Amino acid sequence: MARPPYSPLSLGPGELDAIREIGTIGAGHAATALSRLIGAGIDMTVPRLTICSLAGFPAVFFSLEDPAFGVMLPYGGDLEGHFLLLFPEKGARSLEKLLLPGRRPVTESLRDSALKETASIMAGAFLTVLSRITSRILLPSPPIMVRDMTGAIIDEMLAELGTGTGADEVLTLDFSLNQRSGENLARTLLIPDPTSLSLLLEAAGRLQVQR
Amino acid sequence: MNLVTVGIAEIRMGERPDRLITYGLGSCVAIVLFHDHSGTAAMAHVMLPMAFEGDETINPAKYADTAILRMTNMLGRKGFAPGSLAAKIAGGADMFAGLSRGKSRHIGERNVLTARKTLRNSGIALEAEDTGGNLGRSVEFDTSTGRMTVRTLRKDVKVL
Repeated sequence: MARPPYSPLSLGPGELDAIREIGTIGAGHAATALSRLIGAGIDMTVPRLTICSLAGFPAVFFSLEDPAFGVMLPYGGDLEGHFLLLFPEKGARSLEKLLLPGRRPVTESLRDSALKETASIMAGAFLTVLSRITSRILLPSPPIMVRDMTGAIIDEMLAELGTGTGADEVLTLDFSLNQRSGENLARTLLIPDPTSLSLLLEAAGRLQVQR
Repeated sequence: MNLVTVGIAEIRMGERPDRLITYGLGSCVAIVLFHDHSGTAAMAHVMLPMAFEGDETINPAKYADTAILRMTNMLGRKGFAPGSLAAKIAGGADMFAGLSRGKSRHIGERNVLTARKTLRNSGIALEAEDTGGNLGRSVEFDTSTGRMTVRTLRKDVKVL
């Protein structure tokens, strides 16, 4: 029986390398965008590509009951899909201090809007990279954000991802954005939905052809 | 006593005095079937309501309907008939309001509806549930007492 078409297990080493490289370019753009936003230098870790089973998935990454902000970013245009980003609360607090300097106390809605904007800018940077490589028009929509247990956010993201597919494995890219002092600002977990994964693959293919 | 952690799309069993735990349920649902007298229980962390037709590669623990049937079989092999089992369920939150725009029902709600219906069709009594809402949950089932403890980030703890 054939696997679902987007199963990450069917990807070859060349494709995985190319996706990793696109992830690096995208994350680099995201880091630059964030750096401009806060007016300070940002260091980025090289994105880690992980493929694992649903059952083993969330525990690989985070402490599941810690609070985090989850941001879902839909996009439209030539393709419709969404990216999901996760900001553990600890890093989000540091980010908030840089985004809203001198403003105390920070109201919940102000903080939420600052974090949403950040996620939007980072996802926009990613989309720009994908759009440029694939020559497709990709337009980001307003993000939807929640604050809850890390595990529950990932769980909900995976259920949404699982709708309409039979895949038991997920592919993710995760990277950290740190201040020059080493303090973590955002731990970003990118879970592409099937459309976004096919987009990454298309971009990966273009990248290989260009060589 | 063992702490048995149940991952997404997984089914695990436990015997008294084990505790079955699953962390971070969003729209997913934790389903526990247990035999009170012997202290034998099975927990599933299901993601989606129903298996896709014709999909033979499915993992039964991923879907509410197939997970309940699988757990009923597992407990049946230990000599417990469906009529002697009871169920408790928790989860099915709608955390990202607006995520499922255009769909008639949110996936969490459909998970819960399918779980209830499958239990009813299997002749298993649903003793208690904590479902819906917009908050994530962590769930722990104690095989010694038959109690299910549900935690959220708001620190309120419910015991079912």
